[in-house]
Amino acid sequence: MQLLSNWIYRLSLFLIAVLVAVMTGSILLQVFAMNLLNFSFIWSGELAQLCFVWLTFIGASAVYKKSEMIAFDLLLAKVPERYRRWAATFIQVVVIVFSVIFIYYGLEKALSPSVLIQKSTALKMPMIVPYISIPIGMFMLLIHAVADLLKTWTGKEVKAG
Amino acid sequence: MIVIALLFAVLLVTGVPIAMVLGLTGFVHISLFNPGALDIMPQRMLSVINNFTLLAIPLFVLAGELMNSSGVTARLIDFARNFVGHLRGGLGYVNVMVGLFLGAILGSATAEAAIRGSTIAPEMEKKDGYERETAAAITATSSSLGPIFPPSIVFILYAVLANVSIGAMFLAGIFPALLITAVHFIYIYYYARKKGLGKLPLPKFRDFLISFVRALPALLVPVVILGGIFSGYFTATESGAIACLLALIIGIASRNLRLADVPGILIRSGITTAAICIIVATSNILGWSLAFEQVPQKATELFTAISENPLVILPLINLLLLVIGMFLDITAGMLIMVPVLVPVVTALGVDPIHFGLIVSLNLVIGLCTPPVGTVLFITSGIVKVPLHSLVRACIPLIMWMLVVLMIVTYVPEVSLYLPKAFGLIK
Repeated sequence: MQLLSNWIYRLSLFLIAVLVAVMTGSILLQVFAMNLLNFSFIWSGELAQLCFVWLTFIGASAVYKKSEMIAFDLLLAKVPERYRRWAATFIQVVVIVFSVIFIYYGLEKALSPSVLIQKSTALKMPMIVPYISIPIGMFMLLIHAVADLLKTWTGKEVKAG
Repeated sequence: MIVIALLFAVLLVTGVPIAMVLGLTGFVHISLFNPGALDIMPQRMLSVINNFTLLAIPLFVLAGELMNSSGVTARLIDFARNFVGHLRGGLGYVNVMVGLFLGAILGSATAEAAIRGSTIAPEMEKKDGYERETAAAITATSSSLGPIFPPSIVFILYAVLANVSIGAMFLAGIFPALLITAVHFIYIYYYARKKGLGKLPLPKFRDFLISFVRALPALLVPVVILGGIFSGYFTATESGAIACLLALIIGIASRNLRLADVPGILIRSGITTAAICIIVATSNILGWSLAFEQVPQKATELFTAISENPLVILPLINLLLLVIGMFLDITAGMLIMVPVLVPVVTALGVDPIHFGLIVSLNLVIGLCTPPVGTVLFITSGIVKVPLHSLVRACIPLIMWMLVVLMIVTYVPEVSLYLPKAFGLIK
Protein backbone atom coordinates (compact mmCIF):
# COMPACT_ATOMS: atom_id res chain seq x y z
CA MET A 1 0.00 0.00 0.00
CA GLN A 2 2.78 2.45 0.94
CA LEU A 3 4.55 1.51 -2.27
CA LEU A 4 1.44 2.18 -4.35
CA SER A 5 0.89 5.48 -2.58
CA ASN A 6 4.49 6.55 -3.18
CA TRP A 7 4.31 5.51 -6.80
CA ILE A 8 1.09 7.48 -7.36
CA TYR A 9 2.67 10.46 -5.63
CA ARG A 10 5.66 10.42 -7.98
CA LEU A 11 3.36 10.11 -10.97
CA SER A 12 1.29 13.06 -9.73
CA LEU A 13 4.39 15.24 -9.31
CA PHE A 14 5.39 14.50 -12.89
CA LEU A 15 1.87 15.34 -14.10
CA ILE A 16 1.83 18.57 -12.07
CA ALA A 17 5.08 19.77 -13.68
CA VAL A 18 3.78 18.97 -17.18
CA LEU A 19 0.38 20.58 -16.53
CA VAL A 20 1.86 23.82 -15.17
CA ALA A 21 4.29 24.01 -18.10
CA VAL A 22 1.65 23.38 -20.77
CA MET A 23 -0.74 25.80 -19.10
CA THR A 24 1.79 28.63 -18.96
CA GLY A 25 3.04 27.88 -22.46
CA SER A 26 -0.37 27.97 -24.07
CA ILE A 27 -1.27 31.29 -22.43
CA LEU A 28 2.05 32.74 -23.62
CA LEU A 29 1.35 31.47 -27.11
CA GLN A 30 -2.03 33.15 -26.97
CA VAL A 31 -0.57 36.51 -25.92
CA PHE A 32 2.09 36.46 -28.63
CA ALA A 33 -0.19 35.29 -31.38
CA MET A 34 -2.72 37.95 -30.44
CA ASN A 35 -0.37 40.92 -30.08
CA LEU A 36 2.37 40.17 -32.58
CA LEU A 37 0.74 38.10 -35.29
CA ASN A 38 -2.78 39.44 -34.90
CA PHE A 39 -3.93 35.88 -34.93
CA SER A 40 -5.81 34.08 -32.22
CA PHE A 41 -5.71 30.41 -31.43
CA ILE A 42 -9.18 29.52 -30.31
CA TRP A 43 -7.94 26.50 -28.40
CA SER A 44 -5.12 27.94 -26.28
CA GLY A 45 -7.30 29.37 -23.53
CA GLU A 46 -9.34 26.22 -23.32
CA LEU A 47 -6.27 23.99 -23.17
CA ALA A 48 -4.87 26.12 -20.34
CA GLN A 49 -8.12 25.88 -18.42
CA LEU A 50 -8.20 22.12 -18.90
CA CYS A 51 -4.67 21.86 -17.47
CA PHE A 52 -5.75 24.05 -14.55
CA VAL A 53 -8.69 21.76 -13.74
CA TRP A 54 -6.49 18.66 -13.82
CA LEU A 55 -3.82 20.47 -11.81
CA THR A 56 -6.35 21.28 -9.07
CA PHE A 57 -7.71 17.75 -8.60
CA ILE A 58 -4.54 15.72 -9.24
CA GLY A 59 -2.55 18.32 -7.31
CA ALA A 60 -4.89 18.04 -4.32
CA SER A 61 -3.79 14.44 -3.75
CA ALA A 62 -0.13 15.47 -3.77
CA VAL A 63 -0.90 18.35 -1.39
CA TYR A 64 -2.44 15.83 1.02
CA LYS A 65 0.50 13.45 0.69
CA LYS A 66 2.90 16.31 1.48
CA SER A 67 0.75 17.25 4.53
CA GLU A 68 0.32 20.73 3.09
CA MET A 69 -3.47 20.81 3.13
CA ILE A 70 -4.64 24.02 4.75
CA ALA A 71 -6.27 23.08 8.06
CA PHE A 72 -7.07 24.54 11.44
CA ASP A 73 -4.56 22.46 13.40
CA LEU A 74 -4.34 24.49 16.59
CA LEU A 75 -6.16 21.95 18.76
CA LEU A 76 -4.61 18.99 16.98
CA ALA A 77 -1.17 20.16 18.10
CA LYS A 78 -2.39 20.23 21.71
CA VAL A 79 -3.68 16.64 21.69
CA PRO A 80 -1.66 14.60 24.22
CA GLU A 81 0.78 12.10 22.75
CA ARG A 82 -1.23 8.98 23.57
CA TYR A 83 -4.39 10.27 21.82
CA ARG A 84 -2.49 11.41 18.71
CA ARG A 85 -3.18 8.15 16.98
CA TRP A 86 -6.94 8.52 17.42
CA ALA A 87 -6.92 12.13 16.28
CA ALA A 88 -4.98 11.14 13.16
CA THR A 89 -7.35 8.22 12.56
CA PHE A 90 -10.36 10.52 12.73
CA ILE A 91 -8.95 12.86 10.09
CA GLN A 92 -7.86 10.01 7.84
CA VAL A 93 -11.28 8.39 8.02
CA VAL A 94 -12.95 11.71 7.18
CA VAL A 95 -10.63 12.12 4.18
CA ILE A 96 -11.45 8.55 3.07
CA VAL A 97 -15.19 9.24 3.35
CA PHE A 98 -14.74 12.47 1.42
CA SER A 99 -12.80 10.84 -1.39
CA VAL A 100 -15.22 7.91 -1.71
CA ILE A 101 -18.19 10.31 -1.96
CA PHE A 102 -16.52 12.35 -4.65
CA ILE A 103 -15.24 9.33 -6.58
CA TYR A 104 -18.83 8.09 -6.67
CA TYR A 105 -20.51 11.34 -7.69
CA GLY A 106 -17.58 12.33 -9.89
CA LEU A 107 -17.78 9.09 -11.86
CA GLU A 108 -21.56 9.25 -12.05
CA LYS A 109 -21.36 12.75 -13.49
CA ALA A 110 -18.46 12.04 -15.86
CA LEU A 111 -20.21 8.99 -17.29
CA SER A 112 -23.69 10.53 -17.40
CA PRO A 113 -25.31 10.81 -20.85
CA SER A 114 -25.46 14.60 -20.66
CA VAL A 115 -21.67 14.82 -20.23
CA LEU A 116 -20.87 12.08 -22.73
CA ILE A 117 -22.58 13.84 -25.62
CA GLN A 118 -21.35 17.30 -24.67
CA LYS A 119 -18.32 18.69 -26.53
CA SER A 120 -16.23 21.72 -25.64
CA THR A 121 -16.53 24.82 -27.81
CA ALA A 122 -13.00 25.19 -29.14
CA LEU A 123 -11.17 21.88 -28.88
CA LYS A 124 -14.31 19.82 -29.65
CA MET A 125 -13.12 17.70 -26.78
CA PRO A 126 -15.69 15.50 -25.05
CA MET A 127 -16.59 17.00 -21.67
CA ILE A 128 -15.67 13.75 -19.95
CA VAL A 129 -12.02 14.87 -20.23
CA PRO A 130 -12.29 17.65 -17.63
CA TYR A 131 -14.90 15.84 -15.52
CA ILE A 132 -12.95 12.61 -15.14
CA SER A 133 -10.14 14.53 -13.38
CA ILE A 134 -12.33 14.74 -10.24
CA PRO A 135 -12.73 10.96 -9.63
CA ILE A 136 -9.12 10.28 -10.70
CA GLY A 137 -7.73 12.91 -8.36
CA MET A 138 -10.00 11.70 -5.55
CA PHE A 139 -8.91 8.10 -6.19
CA MET A 140 -5.27 9.15 -5.73
CA LEU A 141 -6.31 10.93 -2.53
CA LEU A 142 -8.08 7.77 -1.34
CA ILE A 143 -4.95 5.66 -1.84
CA HIS A 144 -2.83 8.14 0.12
CA ALA A 145 -5.38 8.34 2.95
CA VAL A 146 -5.71 4.55 3.23
CA ALA A 147 -1.92 4.20 3.20
CA ASP A 148 -1.73 6.82 5.98
CA LEU A 149 -4.37 5.02 8.02
CA LEU A 150 -2.46 1.73 7.73
CA LYS A 151 0.73 3.50 8.74
CA THR A 152 -1.03 5.05 11.73
CA TRP A 153 -1.82 1.59 13.09
CA THR A 154 1.27 -0.35 12.01
CA GLY A 155 4.04 2.23 11.94
CA LYS A 156 5.71 3.90 14.86
CA GLU A 157 5.26 7.46 13.66
CA VAL A 158 1.86 9.09 13.59
CA LYS A 159 1.27 11.54 10.79
CA ALA A 160 -1.35 14.08 11.76
CA GLY A 161 -3.21 16.29 9.32
CA MET B 1 -29.10 24.62 9.69
CA ILE B 2 -27.84 24.04 13.24
CA VAL B 3 -26.79 20.50 12.31
CA ILE B 4 -24.75 21.90 9.43
CA ALA B 5 -23.10 24.58 11.56
CA LEU B 6 -22.25 21.97 14.20
CA LEU B 7 -20.80 19.55 11.64
CA PHE B 8 -18.75 22.37 10.14
CA ALA B 9 -17.42 23.40 13.55
CA VAL B 10 -16.56 19.85 14.65
CA LEU B 11 -14.75 18.97 11.43
CA LEU B 12 -12.92 22.29 11.47
CA VAL B 13 -11.59 22.20 15.04
CA THR B 14 -10.52 18.56 14.83
CA GLY B 15 -8.05 19.60 12.15
CA VAL B 16 -9.68 18.08 9.08
CA PRO B 17 -8.32 19.88 5.98
CA ILE B 18 -10.59 22.83 5.13
CA ALA B 19 -11.22 21.58 1.60
CA MET B 20 -12.80 18.42 3.06
CA VAL B 21 -14.67 20.37 5.75
CA LEU B 22 -16.35 22.54 3.12
CA GLY B 23 -17.02 19.68 0.69
CA LEU B 24 -18.52 17.37 3.30
CA THR B 25 -20.59 20.10 4.94
CA GLY B 26 -21.96 21.00 1.52
CA PHE B 27 -22.64 17.32 0.80
CA VAL B 28 -24.56 16.79 4.06
CA HIS B 29 -26.45 20.06 3.60
CA ILE B 30 -27.61 19.06 0.12
CA SER B 31 -28.41 15.48 1.24
CA LEU B 32 -30.66 16.78 4.00
CA PHE B 33 -32.54 19.49 2.17
CA ASN B 34 -32.29 18.72 -1.48
CA PRO B 35 -31.14 15.11 -2.04
CA GLY B 36 -32.19 15.16 -5.69
CA ALA B 37 -29.53 17.76 -6.42
CA LEU B 38 -26.50 15.77 -5.20
CA ASP B 39 -25.25 15.15 -8.72
CA ILE B 40 -24.72 18.89 -9.11
CA MET B 41 -21.63 18.69 -6.86
CA PRO B 42 -19.03 17.75 -9.51
CA GLN B 43 -20.40 20.44 -11.79
CA ARG B 44 -20.07 23.06 -9.02
CA MET B 45 -16.47 21.98 -8.35
CA LEU B 46 -15.54 22.04 -12.01
CA SER B 47 -17.29 25.23 -13.07
CA VAL B 48 -15.54 27.44 -10.54
CA ILE B 49 -12.09 26.10 -11.49
CA ASN B 50 -12.76 26.06 -15.23
CA ASN B 51 -12.40 29.81 -15.20
CA PHE B 52 -9.94 31.89 -17.21
CA THR B 53 -9.69 34.58 -14.52
CA LEU B 54 -8.81 32.16 -11.74
CA LEU B 55 -6.05 30.82 -13.98
CA ALA B 56 -4.12 33.94 -12.97
CA ILE B 57 -3.41 32.31 -9.59
CA PRO B 58 -1.05 29.52 -10.77
CA LEU B 59 0.61 31.90 -13.22
CA PHE B 60 1.44 34.50 -10.57
CA VAL B 61 2.52 31.79 -8.13
CA LEU B 62 4.89 30.40 -10.77
CA ALA B 63 6.17 33.87 -11.65
CA GLY B 64 6.94 34.50 -7.97
CA GLU B 65 8.78 31.17 -7.62
CA LEU B 66 10.81 31.84 -10.77
CA MET B 67 11.71 35.38 -9.70
CA ASN B 68 12.72 34.13 -6.31
CA SER B 69 15.06 31.56 -7.86
CA SER B 70 16.50 34.22 -10.16
CA GLY B 71 18.49 35.90 -7.41
CA VAL B 72 16.49 39.12 -7.62
CA THR B 73 16.05 39.33 -3.86
CA ALA B 74 19.75 40.02 -3.30
CA ARG B 75 19.72 42.79 -5.90
CA LEU B 76 16.58 44.36 -4.45
CA ILE B 77 18.12 44.33 -0.97
CA ASP B 78 21.28 45.93 -2.32
CA PHE B 79 19.29 48.68 -4.04
CA ALA B 80 17.10 49.36 -1.00
CA ARG B 81 20.24 49.54 1.17
CA ASN B 82 21.74 52.22 -1.05
CA PHE B 83 18.40 54.03 -1.05
CA VAL B 84 17.31 54.14 2.61
CA GLY B 85 20.11 52.28 4.42
CA HIS B 86 21.82 55.47 5.63
CA LEU B 87 18.90 56.49 7.84
CA ARG B 88 19.01 55.81 11.58
CA GLY B 89 18.16 52.12 11.99
CA GLY B 90 18.44 51.89 8.21
CA LEU B 91 18.06 48.14 7.79
CA GLY B 92 14.53 48.36 9.18
CA TYR B 93 13.59 50.68 6.34
CA VAL B 94 15.46 48.42 3.92
CA ASN B 95 13.41 45.45 5.14
CA VAL B 96 10.06 47.18 4.61
CA MET B 97 11.12 48.64 1.26
CA VAL B 98 12.21 45.22 -0.01
CA GLY B 99 8.81 44.01 1.24
CA LEU B 100 7.18 46.55 -1.05
CA PHE B 101 9.37 45.53 -4.02
CA LEU B 102 8.75 41.84 -3.40
CA GLY B 103 5.04 42.61 -3.03
CA ALA B 104 5.13 43.75 -6.63
CA ILE B 105 6.55 40.36 -7.65
CA LEU B 106 5.06 37.88 -5.20
CA GLY B 107 1.39 37.71 -4.36
CA SER B 108 1.53 36.08 -0.95
CA ALA B 109 2.47 37.02 2.59
CA THR B 110 4.08 33.72 3.58
CA ALA B 111 6.68 33.93 0.80
CA GLU B 112 7.47 37.50 1.89
CA ALA B 113 7.99 36.47 5.49
CA ALA B 114 10.13 33.47 4.56
CA ILE B 115 12.42 35.41 2.21
CA ARG B 116 12.99 38.49 4.36
CA GLY B 117 13.04 36.53 7.59
CA SER B 118 16.05 34.57 6.33
CA THR B 119 17.88 37.48 4.63
CA ILE B 120 17.34 40.91 6.18
CA ALA B 121 15.91 40.26 9.65
CA PRO B 122 19.12 38.61 10.99
CA GLU B 123 21.19 41.53 9.67
CA MET B 124 18.92 44.04 11.39
CA GLU B 125 19.91 42.44 14.67
CA LYS B 126 23.60 41.94 13.91
CA LYS B 127 24.50 45.14 12.09
CA ASP B 128 21.99 47.73 13.29
CA GLY B 129 21.34 46.57 16.85
CA TYR B 130 17.63 45.87 16.55
CA GLU B 131 16.17 43.54 19.15
CA ARG B 132 15.64 40.23 17.46
CA GLU B 133 11.91 40.08 18.17
CA THR B 134 11.42 43.60 16.81
CA ALA B 135 13.27 42.70 13.63
CA ALA B 136 11.04 39.63 13.32
CA ALA B 137 7.87 41.61 14.08
CA ILE B 138 8.65 44.24 11.43
CA THR B 139 9.21 41.42 8.94
CA ALA B 140 5.96 39.70 9.91
CA THR B 141 3.53 42.62 9.77
CA SER B 142 5.08 44.17 6.66
CA SER B 143 4.57 40.81 4.90
CA SER B 144 1.02 42.07 4.42
CA LEU B 145 2.50 44.01 1.50
CA GLY B 146 2.65 40.74 -0.46
CA PRO B 147 -1.12 40.31 -0.77
CA ILE B 148 -2.00 44.02 -0.70
CA PHE B 149 0.45 45.37 -3.31
CA PRO B 150 -0.44 44.06 -6.78
CA PRO B 151 -0.20 41.40 -8.12
CA SER B 152 -1.99 39.51 -5.39
CA ILE B 153 -3.40 35.99 -5.13
CA VAL B 154 -5.92 37.21 -2.54
CA PHE B 155 -7.19 39.94 -4.87
CA ILE B 156 -7.58 37.47 -7.75
CA LEU B 157 -9.64 35.21 -5.51
CA TYR B 158 -11.78 38.13 -4.33
CA ALA B 159 -12.29 39.36 -7.88
CA VAL B 160 -13.58 35.94 -8.92
CA LEU B 161 -15.83 35.57 -5.85
CA ALA B 162 -17.30 39.07 -5.97
CA ASN B 163 -17.34 39.20 -9.76
CA VAL B 164 -15.30 42.40 -10.09
CA SER B 165 -12.36 43.32 -12.32
CA ILE B 166 -8.93 42.04 -11.24
CA GLY B 167 -7.34 45.12 -12.81
CA ALA B 168 -9.48 47.40 -10.63
CA MET B 169 -8.59 45.36 -7.51
CA PHE B 170 -4.87 45.56 -8.37
CA LEU B 171 -5.03 49.34 -8.77
CA ALA B 172 -7.07 49.72 -5.60
CA GLY B 173 -4.33 47.97 -3.61
CA ILE B 174 -1.55 50.44 -4.43
CA PHE B 175 -2.38 53.30 -2.01
CA PRO B 176 -3.28 51.02 0.92
CA ALA B 177 0.07 49.22 0.40
CA LEU B 178 1.87 52.56 0.49
CA LEU B 179 -0.01 53.37 3.71
CA ILE B 180 1.23 50.10 5.22
CA THR B 181 4.77 51.05 4.20
CA ALA B 182 4.34 54.51 5.71
CA VAL B 183 3.12 53.30 9.11
CA HIS B 184 6.04 50.85 9.29
CA PHE B 185 8.45 53.70 8.50
CA ILE B 186 6.88 55.79 11.29
CA TYR B 187 7.24 52.93 13.74
CA ILE B 188 10.87 52.34 12.75
CA TYR B 189 11.67 56.07 12.98
CA TYR B 190 10.51 56.25 16.61
CA TYR B 191 11.98 52.87 17.54
CA ALA B 192 15.40 53.80 16.12
CA ARG B 193 15.39 57.14 17.96
CA LYS B 194 14.33 55.57 21.26
CA LYS B 195 16.97 52.84 21.05
CA GLY B 196 19.60 55.26 19.72
CA LEU B 197 20.45 52.98 16.80
CA GLY B 198 23.41 53.92 14.63
CA LYS B 199 23.53 55.68 11.29
CA LEU B 200 25.56 54.74 8.23
CA PRO B 201 27.23 57.30 5.97
CA LEU B 202 25.37 58.31 2.82
CA PRO B 203 26.34 55.89 0.02
CA LYS B 204 28.27 57.19 -2.99
CA PHE B 205 25.98 58.22 -5.79
CA ARG B 206 27.88 55.88 -8.11
CA ASP B 207 27.09 52.87 -5.86
CA PHE B 208 23.46 53.90 -5.71
CA LEU B 209 23.32 54.05 -9.50
CA ILE B 210 25.01 50.67 -9.95
CA SER B 211 22.65 48.98 -7.49
CA PHE B 212 19.70 50.63 -9.21
CA VAL B 213 20.76 49.35 -12.63
CA ARG B 214 21.30 45.86 -11.24
CA ALA B 215 17.83 45.87 -9.64
CA LEU B 216 16.21 47.41 -12.70
CA PRO B 217 15.02 44.19 -14.39
CA ALA B 218 13.28 43.11 -11.17
CA LEU B 219 11.74 46.56 -10.77
CA LEU B 220 10.59 46.61 -14.38
CA VAL B 221 8.64 43.35 -14.18
CA PRO B 222 5.78 44.86 -12.17
CA VAL B 223 5.77 47.90 -14.42
CA VAL B 224 5.30 45.67 -17.46
CA ILE B 225 2.65 43.53 -15.72
CA LEU B 226 0.61 46.38 -14.33
CA GLY B 227 1.13 48.64 -17.34
CA GLY B 228 -0.08 45.83 -19.62
CA ILE B 229 -3.22 45.26 -17.58
CA PHE B 230 -4.11 48.90 -17.10
CA SER B 231 -3.54 49.88 -20.70
CA GLY B 232 -5.81 47.01 -21.69
CA TYR B 233 -2.99 45.42 -23.68
CA PHE B 234 -3.52 42.07 -21.99
CA THR B 235 -5.69 40.52 -19.31
CA ALA B 236 -4.52 39.82 -15.75
CA THR B 237 -4.21 36.13 -16.60
CA GLU B 238 -2.08 36.83 -19.65
CA SER B 239 0.10 39.22 -17.68
CA GLY B 240 0.77 36.36 -15.25
CA ALA B 241 2.16 34.27 -18.10
CA ILE B 242 4.28 37.21 -19.31
CA ALA B 243 5.64 37.64 -15.79
CA CYS B 244 6.70 33.96 -15.87
CA LEU B 245 8.51 34.48 -19.16
CA LEU B 246 10.29 37.63 -17.94
CA ALA B 247 11.31 35.90 -14.71
CA LEU B 248 12.67 32.96 -16.69
CA ILE B 249 14.68 35.28 -18.96
CA ILE B 250 16.07 37.28 -16.01
CA GLY B 251 16.99 34.07 -14.21
CA ILE B 252 18.78 32.54 -17.17
CA ALA B 253 20.47 35.78 -18.21
CA SER B 254 21.83 36.34 -14.71
CA ARG B 255 22.91 32.65 -14.55
CA ASN B 256 21.15 32.17 -11.21
CA LEU B 257 18.53 29.86 -12.62
CA ARG B 258 19.56 26.53 -14.10
CA LEU B 259 17.26 24.55 -16.33
CA ALA B 260 17.58 21.64 -13.92
CA ASP B 261 15.82 23.77 -11.27
CA VAL B 262 12.77 24.34 -13.46
CA PRO B 263 10.90 21.04 -12.84
CA GLY B 264 11.15 21.55 -9.08
CA ILE B 265 9.84 25.09 -9.44
CA LEU B 266 6.93 23.89 -11.61
CA ILE B 267 6.03 21.26 -9.03
CA ARG B 268 6.26 23.68 -6.10
CA SER B 269 4.00 26.22 -7.77
CA GLY B 270 1.60 23.46 -8.85
CA ILE B 271 1.31 22.22 -5.27
CA THR B 272 0.79 25.74 -3.88
CA THR B 273 -1.92 26.32 -6.48
CA ALA B 274 -3.71 23.03 -5.82
CA ALA B 275 -3.70 23.68 -2.06
CA ILE B 276 -5.65 26.91 -2.68
CA CYS B 277 -7.81 25.80 -5.58
CA ILE B 278 -9.11 22.53 -4.10
CA ILE B 279 -10.65 24.69 -1.36
CA VAL B 280 -12.07 27.01 -3.98
CA ALA B 281 -13.63 23.96 -5.69
CA THR B 282 -15.24 22.37 -2.62
CA SER B 283 -16.36 25.70 -1.14
CA ASN B 284 -18.43 26.20 -4.27
CA ILE B 285 -20.58 23.21 -3.24
CA LEU B 286 -21.37 24.68 0.17
CA GLY B 287 -21.76 28.10 -1.46
CA TRP B 288 -24.39 26.68 -3.77
CA SER B 289 -26.38 24.97 -1.03
CA LEU B 290 -26.23 28.06 1.19
CA ALA B 291 -27.39 30.26 -1.66
CA PHE B 292 -30.19 27.75 -2.28
CA GLU B 293 -31.35 28.33 1.27
CA GLN B 294 -30.98 32.06 0.73
CA VAL B 295 -28.41 32.44 3.49
CA PRO B 296 -26.81 35.55 1.89
CA GLN B 297 -30.23 37.22 1.74
CA LYS B 298 -30.90 36.30 5.36
CA ALA B 299 -27.52 37.68 6.37
CA THR B 300 -28.34 40.91 4.56
CA GLU B 301 -31.65 41.17 6.42
CA LEU B 302 -29.88 40.49 9.69
CA PHE B 303 -27.31 43.23 9.14
CA THR B 304 -29.72 45.79 7.75
CA ALA B 305 -31.99 45.17 10.75
CA ILE B 306 -29.15 46.46 12.93
CA SER B 307 -28.57 49.52 10.79
CA GLU B 308 -28.65 50.66 7.21
CA ASN B 309 -25.75 53.01 7.70
CA PRO B 310 -22.47 51.63 6.26
CA LEU B 311 -20.56 53.64 8.87
CA VAL B 312 -22.17 51.43 11.53
CA ILE B 313 -22.16 48.13 9.64
CA LEU B 314 -18.60 48.27 8.27
CA PRO B 315 -16.92 48.38 11.71
CA LEU B 316 -19.12 45.45 12.77
CA ILE B 317 -18.01 43.53 9.69
CA ASN B 318 -14.39 44.50 10.42
CA LEU B 319 -14.70 43.06 13.89
CA LEU B 320 -16.24 39.86 12.53
CA LEU B 321 -13.52 39.49 9.88
CA LEU B 322 -10.71 40.21 12.33
CA VAL B 323 -11.97 37.42 14.58
CA ILE B 324 -12.33 35.06 11.62
CA GLY B 325 -8.85 36.05 10.45
CA MET B 326 -7.44 35.11 13.86
CA PHE B 327 -8.57 31.52 13.33
CA LEU B 328 -8.72 30.92 9.59
CA ASP B 329 -6.27 31.18 6.74
CA ILE B 330 -6.92 33.97 4.19
CA THR B 331 -8.16 31.64 1.43
CA ALA B 332 -10.66 29.87 3.69
CA GLY B 333 -11.82 33.10 5.31
CA MET B 334 -12.41 34.67 1.93
CA LEU B 335 -14.23 31.69 0.44
CA ILE B 336 -16.59 31.47 3.39
CA MET B 337 -17.24 35.16 4.06
CA VAL B 338 -17.14 36.95 0.70
CA PRO B 339 -20.21 35.29 -0.89
CA VAL B 340 -22.23 36.10 2.24
CA LEU B 341 -20.94 39.62 2.90
CA VAL B 342 -20.73 41.15 -0.58
CA PRO B 343 -24.54 41.20 -1.01
CA VAL B 344 -24.82 42.79 2.44
CA VAL B 345 -22.48 45.68 1.70
CA THR B 346 -23.63 46.30 -1.85
CA ALA B 347 -27.18 46.60 -0.46
CA LEU B 348 -25.77 49.37 1.75
CA GLY B 349 -24.17 51.10 -1.21
CA VAL B 350 -20.54 50.14 -0.51
CA ASP B 351 -18.46 49.66 -3.67
CA PRO B 352 -17.40 45.98 -3.96
CA ILE B 353 -13.83 47.02 -4.93
CA HIS B 354 -13.57 49.13 -1.77
CA PHE B 355 -14.97 46.21 0.22
CA GLY B 356 -12.39 43.89 -1.38
CA LEU B 357 -9.64 45.97 0.20
CA ILE B 358 -11.42 45.95 3.56
CA VAL B 359 -11.80 42.15 3.54
CA SER B 360 -8.22 41.56 2.41
CA LEU B 361 -6.73 43.89 5.03
CA ASN B 362 -8.74 42.30 7.84
CA LEU B 363 -7.72 38.78 6.89
CA VAL B 364 -4.11 39.80 6.27
CA ILE B 365 -3.90 41.27 9.77
CA GLY B 366 -5.15 37.88 10.96
CA LEU B 367 -2.01 36.28 9.54
CA CYS B 368 0.00 38.07 12.24
CA THR B 369 -2.29 37.38 15.20
CA PRO B 370 -2.51 34.33 17.46
CA PRO B 371 -3.85 31.70 17.87
CA VAL B 372 -3.56 30.87 14.18
CA GLY B 373 -1.24 33.17 12.27
CA THR B 374 0.64 31.55 9.44
CA VAL B 375 3.04 34.46 8.99
CA LEU B 376 3.68 34.54 12.72
CA PHE B 377 4.60 30.83 12.72
CA ILE B 378 6.88 31.16 9.69
CA THR B 379 8.67 34.24 11.00
CA SER B 380 9.10 32.80 14.47
CA GLY B 381 10.58 29.63 12.97
CA ILE B 382 12.92 31.30 10.49
CA VAL B 383 14.17 34.19 12.64
CA LYS B 384 14.28 31.87 15.68
CA VAL B 385 12.22 33.95 18.10
CA PRO B 386 9.85 32.29 20.59
CA LEU B 387 6.27 32.78 19.49
CA HIS B 388 5.13 34.65 22.61
CA SER B 389 7.87 37.28 22.42
CA LEU B 390 7.21 37.74 18.71
CA VAL B 391 3.51 38.25 19.44
CA ARG B 392 4.36 40.87 22.07
CA ALA B 393 6.68 42.71 19.68
CA CYS B 394 3.96 42.64 16.99
CA ILE B 395 1.36 44.42 19.14
CA PRO B 396 2.37 48.04 18.36
CA LEU B 397 2.69 47.20 14.66
CA ILE B 398 -0.72 45.51 14.64
CA MET B 399 -2.10 48.71 16.18
CA TRP B 400 -0.62 50.63 13.25
CA MET B 401 -2.14 48.10 10.83
CA LEU B 402 -5.52 48.73 12.48
CA VAL B 403 -5.02 52.44 11.83
CA VAL B 404 -4.49 51.60 8.14
CA LEU B 405 -7.63 49.44 8.25
CA MET B 406 -9.64 52.33 9.70
CA ILE B 407 -8.38 54.73 7.05
CA VAL B 408 -9.15 52.27 4.25
CA THR B 409 -12.59 51.54 5.71
CA TYR B 410 -13.67 55.14 6.20
CA VAL B 411 -11.95 56.80 3.25
CA PRO B 412 -13.14 54.86 0.18
CA GLU B 413 -11.08 57.14 -2.08
CA VAL B 414 -7.84 55.56 -0.81
CA SER B 415 -8.89 52.40 -2.64
CA LEU B 416 -11.11 53.83 -5.34
CA TYR B 417 -9.14 56.83 -6.58
CA LEU B 418 -6.81 54.90 -8.91
CA PRO B 419 -9.37 52.50 -10.42
CA LYS B 420 -11.56 55.54 -11.10
CA ALA B 421 -8.70 57.55 -12.56
CA PHE B 422 -7.96 54.70 -14.97
CA GLY B 423 -11.63 54.40 -15.84
CA LEU B 424 -11.94 50.81 -14.58
CA ILE B 425 -14.91 51.68 -12.39
CA LYS B 426 -17.38 54.54 -12.45
